[in-house]
This record gives sequence, structure tokens and C-alpha cells, in this order.
Amino acid sequence: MKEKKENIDELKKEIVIERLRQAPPTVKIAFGSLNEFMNRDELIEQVEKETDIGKRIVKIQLEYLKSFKRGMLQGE
Amino acid sequence: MELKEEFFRIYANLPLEERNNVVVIINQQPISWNIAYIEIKNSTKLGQQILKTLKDLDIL
Amino acid sequence: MASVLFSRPSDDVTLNYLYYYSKELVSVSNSLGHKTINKEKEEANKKIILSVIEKQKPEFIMFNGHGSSEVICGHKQEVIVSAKENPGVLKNAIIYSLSCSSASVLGPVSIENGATSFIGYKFDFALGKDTESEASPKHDKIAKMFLEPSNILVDSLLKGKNVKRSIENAKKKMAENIDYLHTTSNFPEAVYYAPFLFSNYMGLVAHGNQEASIN
Repeated sequence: MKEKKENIDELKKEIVIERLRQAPPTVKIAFGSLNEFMNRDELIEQVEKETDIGKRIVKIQLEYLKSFKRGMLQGE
Repeated sequence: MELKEEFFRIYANLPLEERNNVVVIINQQPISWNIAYIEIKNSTKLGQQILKTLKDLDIL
Repeated sequence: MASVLFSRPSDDVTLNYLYYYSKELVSVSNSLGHKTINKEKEEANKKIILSVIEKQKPEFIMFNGHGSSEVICGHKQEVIVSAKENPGVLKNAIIYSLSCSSASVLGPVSIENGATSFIGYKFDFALGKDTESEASPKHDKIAKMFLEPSNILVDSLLKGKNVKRSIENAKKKMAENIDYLHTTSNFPEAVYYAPFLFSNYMGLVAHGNQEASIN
């Protein structure tokens, strides 16, 4: 069970990295406690290193994907 | 609802730009919503794997 | 008319964006006849802000700034309000905190300590940016997608709408902007910002009295 969860977590991370890789390098987001805007590659680095910000980016992307199940922006 | 029908329902409501984006990775291959649609529609083995993985991820 | 306090530091790139966008809100507050106290840049520090709160007892306080689940910061990331140290300073006020995740802990704690309402984000607030507008936040078409809803929220409050309605107005604009990011061909990277704006949409919450409004 624990192994399955770890595999799913790793898969989520890989999916998010691939999604971010599709973005133009010019995409910039300020997020979390960092003061500066991060570009695409910096966002990917955060996810790869599993930093607090990286984990939150993964959560954001997965919640976004899940939102299509219930119809975007319907219900919380 | 069957997973296949659920997928088609979700796919139909996706913004067009999102359909080109990766939604899952199978055997280290990134799969977009569009590719997933083709595989699932054609009832391929890959399509079945995609459905199962999307369910495990709670995207379906 | 109400007494309104704005805390608007601007000591880094991100805060500078919030600073620029909230300038309009200070003008709106003044034009509506509210007693408007604007503490910006280095004046958005703990000593000055807490002194104003104690002496002027503002009914509405907007905090721009960095933060965490438990704190709101001001100039140079100095902690102004902390869930552990001084949540009671927000007593009897409606608060809007445009800082990361402060609604998750500080929000409910401030209500327990007498704040009227606490509006904020339970997740980190995300802000997108157009690299072509580096020197001109006001012309940044992407940042506008993220900050315009926040301005609509405050504008609604300043004009007497209650907390619940003001949040609805902000979320309606966020939803419109997400739709726009999904469909525009004006800039190719638009769709990649959508998940982050969606996170802001899901994260915007209010604790306390949802029917409260500024007189």
C-alpha cells in the first residue's frame, strides 16, 4: 500500500514536470515565500527537488486536473 | 458511470488549449489528453492503462 | 464613512506589483470619503502599522505583503501580525490579507480574538507576470489577470458590499479570467497560468462574519 502511494506521488511529480516543460521558458510565476518570480525552469527545479514550493506546485496542478471532473469552477 | 464514458465527458468539457497538455505518463511516455482520447476511443491496451492510471490519480 | 488602513510595502519585485495595483484602491477609498490611511514602502512597518491600528481603530485593513499561514509581513518582511503573538490587534476590523496562506491559521485565530472578518488565501497566493512588462507592472497583462480580482474585492468592500458579496465579485472575475486564459490566442503561454489562478480562486476564503460591511 505504502509502495503504491509512493509510486503515485512520483507519477504526479513526473506529470507536473512534463506539463511545465510544455510551457514557454518565458512563463513567470511568483509563488510562496520566495520574493522573486520563477521562470519555467526554476519551477521545474522546485518540483524536481521536492521543495515545499515544489510540492505545492504539484498539488496545484493536480487539483487543477481534478477540477475538470466536476466541471471547472463548480463547487469547492 | 464507466471510466470510458467519464473520460469522454471530461474531455468534451476541456478547454481546447488544455487538450494539448500532458495529463498522464505511461511507461515513461507523456500522454496528452488528445492522445489519451484516441487510445481510449480505439479501446487499445494503452487506453485501458490510461484509464486505470487516471482513476488512480483521481483525475477520473 | 469608515476608517480604512492600507499597508503597502514595495521592497521587492513581487511586492512592487501589489503596490502598483493597490494604488488605485487608495484613490477609490479617498474618493468615497473614507478616512484613508495609506502606509506605504518603509512606513509599512510593524511599529507604524500597529500604532495606527491602536490609535485610529480602522474598520477595514488591507495588508499587502509576504507572509505565511501564521503571519502577515510588511516592509523588509518584518512580521506585523502573528497568530501566536498579537492576533488581537485585528479586533473589530474587517481584514483583507493579500499575502500567502494567512487565511489558513491567522485567519481563524484572529476571529477567535475578536476580528470581525478575515478575508485571505488559505494557499500561497500566486502571481503571474509578463516578461515584456518588467519595468511597468501597470501594463502587465498577465499580472492583471491575477490582481484585478483582488482589486474588485476591495473595491466592493469600500463601496459598502458585504464580505460574502465582495468575495463573490472577486471570484466571478477570477473565473472570467481563467476562461480568458483558456481561450485567448493573444499570448501563447496563457493556458499555463490558468492552474495558478485557479489555485487563487480555490484559496480565497473568509472567516468570521460574512455579512459584515464597511459603513
